[in-house]
Amino acid sequence: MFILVRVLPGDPTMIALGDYATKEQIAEARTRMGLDKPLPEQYVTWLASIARGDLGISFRNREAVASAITARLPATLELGLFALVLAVMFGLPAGVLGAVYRGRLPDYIVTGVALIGLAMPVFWIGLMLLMVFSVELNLLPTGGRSSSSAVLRGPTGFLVLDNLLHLDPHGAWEALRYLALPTLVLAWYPFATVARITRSGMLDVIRQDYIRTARSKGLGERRVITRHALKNALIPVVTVVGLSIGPLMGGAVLTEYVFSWPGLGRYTVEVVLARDFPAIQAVILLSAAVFTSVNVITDVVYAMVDPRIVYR
Amino acid sequence: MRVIRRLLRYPVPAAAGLILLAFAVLGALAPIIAPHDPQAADLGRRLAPGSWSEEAIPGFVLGTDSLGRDLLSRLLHGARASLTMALSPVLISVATGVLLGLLSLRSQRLDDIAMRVMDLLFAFPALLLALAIVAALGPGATNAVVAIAITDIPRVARLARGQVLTVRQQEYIVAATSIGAGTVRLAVKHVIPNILSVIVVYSSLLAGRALLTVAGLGYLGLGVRPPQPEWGSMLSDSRQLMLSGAWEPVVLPGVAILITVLAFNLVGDGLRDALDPRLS
Repeated sequence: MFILVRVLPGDPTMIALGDYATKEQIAEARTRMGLDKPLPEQYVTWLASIARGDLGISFRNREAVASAITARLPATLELGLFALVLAVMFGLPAGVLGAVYRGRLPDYIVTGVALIGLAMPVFWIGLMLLMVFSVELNLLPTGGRSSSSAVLRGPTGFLVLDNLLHLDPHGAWEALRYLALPTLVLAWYPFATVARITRSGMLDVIRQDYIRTARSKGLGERRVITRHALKNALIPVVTVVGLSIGPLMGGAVLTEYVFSWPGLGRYTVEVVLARDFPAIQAVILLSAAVFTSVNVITDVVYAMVDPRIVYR
Repeated sequence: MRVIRRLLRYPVPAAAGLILLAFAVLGALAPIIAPHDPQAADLGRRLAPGSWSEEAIPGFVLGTDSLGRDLLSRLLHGARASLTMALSPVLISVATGVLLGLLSLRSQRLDDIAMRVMDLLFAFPALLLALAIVAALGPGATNAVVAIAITDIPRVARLARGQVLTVRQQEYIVAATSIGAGTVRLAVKHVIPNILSVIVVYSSLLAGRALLTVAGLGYLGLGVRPPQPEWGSMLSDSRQLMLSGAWEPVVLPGVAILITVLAFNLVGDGLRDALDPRLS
């Protein structure tokens, strides 16, 4: 990442200072930013500062990148968690429904929605929903995380939770109204994936002998599905939820941009457009760290739910 | 030929393929068939509705955008840009990925090195890696294509390598090696033809995904530079448009993207079934 940003063409000082900067100003800025040192030295300095939790100073507005990220993290986490929960909450039953009613109407609806869901650009779903619910029907806010009059109160930074902790149901409801559309948009892709995988997982399981055994024991269909089939069909779903994190992080960038959501995704777009390299490096590094950890956690959980897999 | 005949037994993927073909032809012929210059702005006719409305301007079938440019012409020219930008990274990543996958035939060491580099690229979420690369290279159509290609290479390489490793165990490969076939001959004559079907199916799915990424980058202002039309960038000022009540410029480019990506995915699914000898 470090190398990538440095080696490729494009001079950050030109961007920070504008097109009319003099040669002296540029040289001065390069010294200040440490860009005149040899690359290996820059790299070691960079690694050492990351180890101290110092992600550098933004080229753009000289703000500490670490504090900029910390300030925006809760907004993104809140959005991401709501979206993931929504996706699993609806994706699982939809997948089961599709499998149980295979080849009939519910299956066609689930499969169709999932297929279309995977083919729609995230930001366009957002635009459509905005057009219907905010512009035409005037039901929901067009963007942002709260109205300007709302106070940001601690301790978690999650607006819904904070308002509930302050026993303010009206505030929590307001926060939910702002969350509704972005959550729906961000949940769409993981919903479609979870529904698809659950459906094919269920279809595999339903054909197994032990399901026939369970039925022949005289168990009710509902019990067979929930107790015997779903439990085993869930195993691939764990992986899918883990794998959804990558697209979810990418989706968050576009979703936050569409809805002016003040989180890390929109920050990413801002710093990329400004070619603010310390900030870009930090954001990408953070996303890679989260992404890799989630993948490891998924593997471990997978081994836990599937006794056939031994984790070495 | 057999593949095409088999594909026709699956009407949905075949129809999807025809749609893709139609879009490609329309895009290629855009300079000839587009009724207007896609970049000719005229604020006097801005945000005109499509011909289904009474307020439509004659000659502007789908209406105009915020600068008064003909929407149909922009969509046609946009098809050209969007499809080219979706297919180019697929070609690049498939060529590079397959080559990297074939390394395992030649040398264990090279293969190890290549796969570690791929692992490194795999550590980043795809869109964020593409954003970082575009940030480094600067916005623009070519750079967006390069960025998408780089994010796709590890996926193709890993798939190709897995296939190569399976194929390599087959008896005909052992036989070819024992009569003295070199690595290149082995790869071209025996390995590539046998892994091709899997790669082709995957390419189709990759093309759909690439189109979504192209549109996303365009929407963020990091893809095709304005005033060049591309479906994603055509949507970039739609937030303002919505408030004006015009829906055509917001809905139509998105529908074009949706149909194309859906078609790529359906063709991919259909090809998988048609090429799978076990399903007949």
